Amino acid sequence: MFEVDVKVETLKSVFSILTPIVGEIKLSAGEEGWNVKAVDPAHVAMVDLSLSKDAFEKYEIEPMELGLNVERMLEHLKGAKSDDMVHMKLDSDNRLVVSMSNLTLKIPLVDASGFSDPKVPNLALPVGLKLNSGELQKGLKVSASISDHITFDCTEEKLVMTSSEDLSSMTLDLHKGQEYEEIHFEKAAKSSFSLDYFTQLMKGVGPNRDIVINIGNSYPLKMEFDFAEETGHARYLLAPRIESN
Amino acid sequence: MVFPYCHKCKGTKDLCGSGRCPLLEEVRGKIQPMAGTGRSVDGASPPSVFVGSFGYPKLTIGPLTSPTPVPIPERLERSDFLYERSIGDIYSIRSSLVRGKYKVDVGTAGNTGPKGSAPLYDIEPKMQIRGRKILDSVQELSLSSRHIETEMKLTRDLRKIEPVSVDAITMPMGPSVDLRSVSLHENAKVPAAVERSSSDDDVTASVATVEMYDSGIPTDHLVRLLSVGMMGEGRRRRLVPTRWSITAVDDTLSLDKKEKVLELPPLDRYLLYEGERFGNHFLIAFFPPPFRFEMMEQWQQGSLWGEGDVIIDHEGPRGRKNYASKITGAYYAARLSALEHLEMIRRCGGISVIRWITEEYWAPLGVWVIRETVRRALKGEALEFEDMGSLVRTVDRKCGMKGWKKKTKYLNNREDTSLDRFL
Repeated sequence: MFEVDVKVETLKSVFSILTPIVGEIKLSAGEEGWNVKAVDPAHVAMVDLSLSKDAFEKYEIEPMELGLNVERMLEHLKGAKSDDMVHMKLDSDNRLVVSMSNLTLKIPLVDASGFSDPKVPNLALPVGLKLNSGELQKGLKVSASISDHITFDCTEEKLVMTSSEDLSSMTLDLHKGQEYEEIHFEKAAKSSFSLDYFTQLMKGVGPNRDIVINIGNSYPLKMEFDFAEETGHARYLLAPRIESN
Repeated sequence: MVFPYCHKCKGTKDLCGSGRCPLLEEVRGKIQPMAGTGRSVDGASPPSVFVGSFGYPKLTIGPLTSPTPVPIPERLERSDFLYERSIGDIYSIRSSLVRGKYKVDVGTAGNTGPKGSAPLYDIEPKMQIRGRKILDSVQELSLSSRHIETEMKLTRDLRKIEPVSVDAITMPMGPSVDLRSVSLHENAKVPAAVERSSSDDDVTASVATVEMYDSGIPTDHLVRLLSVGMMGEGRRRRLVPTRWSITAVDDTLSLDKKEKVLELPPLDRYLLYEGERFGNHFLIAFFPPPFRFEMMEQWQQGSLWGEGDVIIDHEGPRGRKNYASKITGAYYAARLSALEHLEMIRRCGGISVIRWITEEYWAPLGVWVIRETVRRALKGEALEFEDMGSLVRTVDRKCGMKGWKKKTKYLNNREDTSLDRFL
């Protein structure tokens, strides 16, 4: 049994958050809602996404796992208007039937039996900040013109984003209480990340969204945010670039 | 005369405006070609076929046939045999191969219907029957794993033709002459895997390439099949210039290897291999994941294209979307050999290949030299290191080119990591 009604906006958010990480996913549909955990093929970035059943107008599901092609789902949803309601169910041939207003698609599922659940590192990160995604995006955009990586350096009072290569460099200061809100701060933290991946993840986050980032010392970045009117929650992890001697 | 842009051109773009590359002309002068005579060639094709790059969408196709009797004709095409010879020998051995050529449209290869269907000249009466016949012979040759006695009738006397062709990507060849006709005096010996994939109209050329390679069909045979339109989905089959086919096969195979390597456990050490052949010096370094690949290269003073800057092409864990336009074909050849090594040692990791070319490389032999030299270097003993710092110091000591440290993306103290490291 798999039958749901959900806003097209919500579905689009789900797949846009997943698409920077993987092409195909295993969606676990449970009694309380959906969950997807996926790691990119090179194991550099990871996503853990959940969508509560409150996000759905209708939610009739026996727990099951569905294999879906993310890219293609996004393509299919282009046919819908933003306020459309999407009706999805499984037909007897085990195809996903997606209907939105007067449009109906039948989509074969991807075989997800070989997809293993990624191992999620357990991270205790000393710094947690809340800010608007636009602030990060500004720093990332400019640093992409300078280098291929960016450094986050967080002290008590501010978060400094830097990027440098040869003689060029960029520095962006974000201040506590102004551009960001402190959630917790144990000690100063500094980590660098590949811009290629980071910019991809920011596409998944989207513009003008409240996010919480957690930073450690040469440790992965954790970035969390709510979507779909707080019925959805997503968490990205990104492996750092480490300075060795 | 060597210009600063010779490295970019490598005899293909006519950047100096001389019409014919003066450096390659000079190479031609140093080569002792095997003399051919007459307006016909009767002898063995190793088998070998060639599709020219110029004049797209009309390309010249034809077999390579040796009028001189050779004990094992297959060897003329085999890189492991040629690898053991000197540059001069390789040129004289290969110059015995006369390249017949005939112009046909690239799409002709795609029109071959399933077996038993009407021949093409019934469907398209305007299609030249001669072109179709030559294409048929060339396709037959491309299937075979054994040499085939081949007769080529030529439009001009071989004595009036320039006796050797020189190119940076493909193997050297003898004179090229316009064909009147081709006839094969034997049947092709077709390996089962080739028979299966070439007759399958429903699989893409990349799937077919990987399937055949995994069944033990060597790369040169795959290049031959791809170039004359013997793989891929029926109507999409095309003639593909030999130069492009070589890179396409290297690229397709290494992407398949990469997918497999990404699934393997992480490499936890730093490894360095070295090798040299024909003045092509290599250092190949492997380091912990994520997968990344870079190749740096420098043509040095006295080498074929004169002294050039250190150039680099690289790709991050997400792979590359455009052509490696600086290093070109060599990039894909080296990437294939390096990924095969990771697959063999069952580890995932990053790769740096450094190549510097010295004066012993006075004539281009083709990218097989890179594929083969890297492959053999990786069969040797590796130096092992505990950290990136020690690896970089040893590379610096062994490396015969300056300025690589400024260019490298991965051999430095900023190491990318994967999440596995934090589990």
